Amino acid sequence: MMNHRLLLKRKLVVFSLAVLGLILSVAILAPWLAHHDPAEVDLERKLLDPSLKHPLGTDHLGRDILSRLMYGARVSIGTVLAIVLSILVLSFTVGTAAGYWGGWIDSLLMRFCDVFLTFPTFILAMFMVGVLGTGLTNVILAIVLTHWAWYARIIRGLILSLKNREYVLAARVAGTPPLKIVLRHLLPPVAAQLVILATLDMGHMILHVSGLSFLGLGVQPPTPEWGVMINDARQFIWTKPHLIMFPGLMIFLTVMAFNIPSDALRDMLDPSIRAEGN
Amino acid sequence: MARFVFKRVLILPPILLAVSIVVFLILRVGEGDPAMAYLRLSQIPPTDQALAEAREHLGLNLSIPVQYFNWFSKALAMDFGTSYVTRRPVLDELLYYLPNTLTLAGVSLLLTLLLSFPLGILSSLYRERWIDQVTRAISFLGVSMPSFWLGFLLIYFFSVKFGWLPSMGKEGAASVIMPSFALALMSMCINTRLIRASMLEQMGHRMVVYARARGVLERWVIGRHVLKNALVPVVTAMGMHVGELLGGAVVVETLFAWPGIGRYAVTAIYNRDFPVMQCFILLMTVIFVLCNLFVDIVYAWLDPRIRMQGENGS
Amino acid sequence: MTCTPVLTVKDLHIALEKGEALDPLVKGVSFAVGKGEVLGLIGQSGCGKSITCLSLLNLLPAGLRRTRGEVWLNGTSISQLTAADLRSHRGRGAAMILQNPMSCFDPIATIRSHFIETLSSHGLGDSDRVMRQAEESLTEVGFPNPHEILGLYPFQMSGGMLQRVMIALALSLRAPLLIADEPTTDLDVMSQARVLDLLRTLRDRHEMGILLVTHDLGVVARLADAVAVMEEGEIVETGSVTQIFSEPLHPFTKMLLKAHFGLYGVFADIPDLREGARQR
Repeated sequence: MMNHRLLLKRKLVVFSLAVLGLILSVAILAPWLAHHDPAEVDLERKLLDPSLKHPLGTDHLGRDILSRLMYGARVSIGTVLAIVLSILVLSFTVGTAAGYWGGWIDSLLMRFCDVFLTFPTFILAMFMVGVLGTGLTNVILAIVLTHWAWYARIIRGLILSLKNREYVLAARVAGTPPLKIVLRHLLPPVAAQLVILATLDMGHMILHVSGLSFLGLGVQPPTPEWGVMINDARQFIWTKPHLIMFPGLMIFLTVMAFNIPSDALRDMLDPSIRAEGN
Repeated sequence: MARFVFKRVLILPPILLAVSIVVFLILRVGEGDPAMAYLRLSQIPPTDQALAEAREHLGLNLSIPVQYFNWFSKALAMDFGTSYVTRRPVLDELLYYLPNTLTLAGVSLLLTLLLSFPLGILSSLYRERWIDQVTRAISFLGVSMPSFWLGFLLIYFFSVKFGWLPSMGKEGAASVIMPSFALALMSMCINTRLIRASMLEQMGHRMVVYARARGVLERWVIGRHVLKNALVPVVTAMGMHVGELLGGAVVVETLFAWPGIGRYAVTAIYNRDFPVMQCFILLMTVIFVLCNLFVDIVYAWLDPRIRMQGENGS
Repeated sequence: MTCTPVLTVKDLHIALEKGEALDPLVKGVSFAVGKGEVLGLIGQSGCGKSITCLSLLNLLPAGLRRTRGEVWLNGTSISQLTAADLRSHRGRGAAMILQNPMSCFDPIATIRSHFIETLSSHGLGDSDRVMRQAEESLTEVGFPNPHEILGLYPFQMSGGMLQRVMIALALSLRAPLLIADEPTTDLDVMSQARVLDLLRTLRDRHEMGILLVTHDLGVVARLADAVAVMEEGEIVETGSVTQIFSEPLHPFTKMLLKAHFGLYGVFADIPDLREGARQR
């Protein structure tokens, strides 16, 4: 009985990784897979129901929905990857500087982090977009700036615990320049943890990006982004609900596809859950 | 306990001060000329003269520290300026809409607590039975669902198809049902999973074996030891929930045309109504900070280790 | 020694459930503890001593099962008890003290509330009586200010102190049997001595039967009256403590003793052991 539970879980993880792979491939191959130009406006063909030519119908400007969904995958995944990478770089730099050098640098940087952590993240992101202006780059910037502090703190903690390990002390005694120590000895173990943390958060980031876009504060039309598509389709909820259903479904599936493996990963790493299994 | 609370309250002013400085700096450093926005919203053509006058009027020619100081002294008197759009005091406008948001958030929180605790606890006590399987499945789905999509699904089924519930606005008690549910689902699901995991972790604890070995009544073993200890991480997580709840409220309010502070703020952002934006983020952050303080106090009340360490200074 | 032993274990088998199969961990263990007697159960870590203890009160963790054998507490077979009776036997019929006491107490409950819930669960609900009983037991285990102790949280006390509180809890229920699972393992030498002295008092003054489980032969030598040696889930030798230490019969017992004495650089007058030493 225990076995079949684990088996189901494993199948689920494999399935969601497959879905994730599928979405990623669609994102990468969208220009070749899509039958229509997602920006091609054709008011003669607006609001068509699903048909052979337009498998998911067209939107209020006559654009093919399926193609827009595919390109939307590019935008969403690309944005989230850019966000995560930027956060990792920024938080690693700050966290390592604080943890490694300690002293007043540490205090200063951590106070700085604390201030950012005081804000509710989505609201701060909204505010930043409001100040910096809308658009993809500003969305990325806003979300990076609102989320980095949490990661920086965690990295600092990791560095603090690693800093006094023997191999690091040995390297310092041997006169290795700090940068080399950081990159050679500290980065690898921290990187592993970071990747896990980032994976756990990706689903959440996608929701924030599409949330901002839905509010009209993120990616702007005509860029095909799932949140934007939902916003565009609001007025048609009574007449053409499928315009809202499909983009929303894509967000849902993508977030779930990220969450299932990261959940399994978290379970794997949590010894108390593993002990339960025994 | 009192010392703990006192210490936590004492660091509030400096934090809020730092927050206000950061907000001010972001605003001044960011794109968008407040003078332009002001003129546009006042429907005054932006001639050079008008711009110069506007800058003078808004005090934009002064140095940044002086600007901040002026703003800060007025803020202390609860004067956050006037909206570029409505010309009414910003704080008054926000406080007018705030109760609606608090109602929405309050009902959502209530829903979360009422559903997540029983389900999480039952799920952990009856592991692998149907209630656990179903709860976990739903929780998992709920965590991945964007609240605005869920909102639309709800509107589609309950307003469009069945016409049971009003699809927008705030009219009567029934209108709060869908928005609060859409808002609550994510935190409900996160909380349920957390409670379940926390309970399971506690149940495997040696203290449970020892309690049973002493012949302690089972309902006390679960109700006192397991449950109370399980609550500790859950309460800490609630602080983060509030942040998500505040953010989520903005989205849900926009979707359901709920006349709350979030919806008002979104409009202000479209309009680049800077005084409103500034006051909005400060207000939300203050609420967030106060909620976190409350959560910390509850946490210290539950766990004596925190209380005592906190009093002796960390 | 009186009539019925306080604890009788006969042919106890415990197995680990691995899917459909059963992996036997304890294979046919039998022993008895009389009133006012200390039985030392010794063996290596992982030989099954602790799970034997847990199974005596039906406290085996999920996945472990008693597959065969009988356990009698004060003449009552525990397999014939209902869940409610079993619960009331735990603590009252047999009390337990465990190793690493810090992790056994509820970190957010005071010592007082531990006493209250224990005594109330066994029907001594009157709070005055409970407090008196608690203070009496705490005094008996050597706390000069029991009132102060009651107000403390577990994290404010040391391992040695908590072990004594455990003994106090056991005392307060007046159980005829004490199951002590590695009670001195995490303690420093002074605390160990105190705990062992206390256990001796329990045996002498209260005539409690004690099942003392440990891997430390020094502890057994000091306190036990009888010894049972366990190897890989089976009892390989039993006897009085003098017997076991001076004339061990089973090769495993001899090995244990050799290792034990070797630690002290002492070789007792046992022919096999001394030879082993010369060969080195």
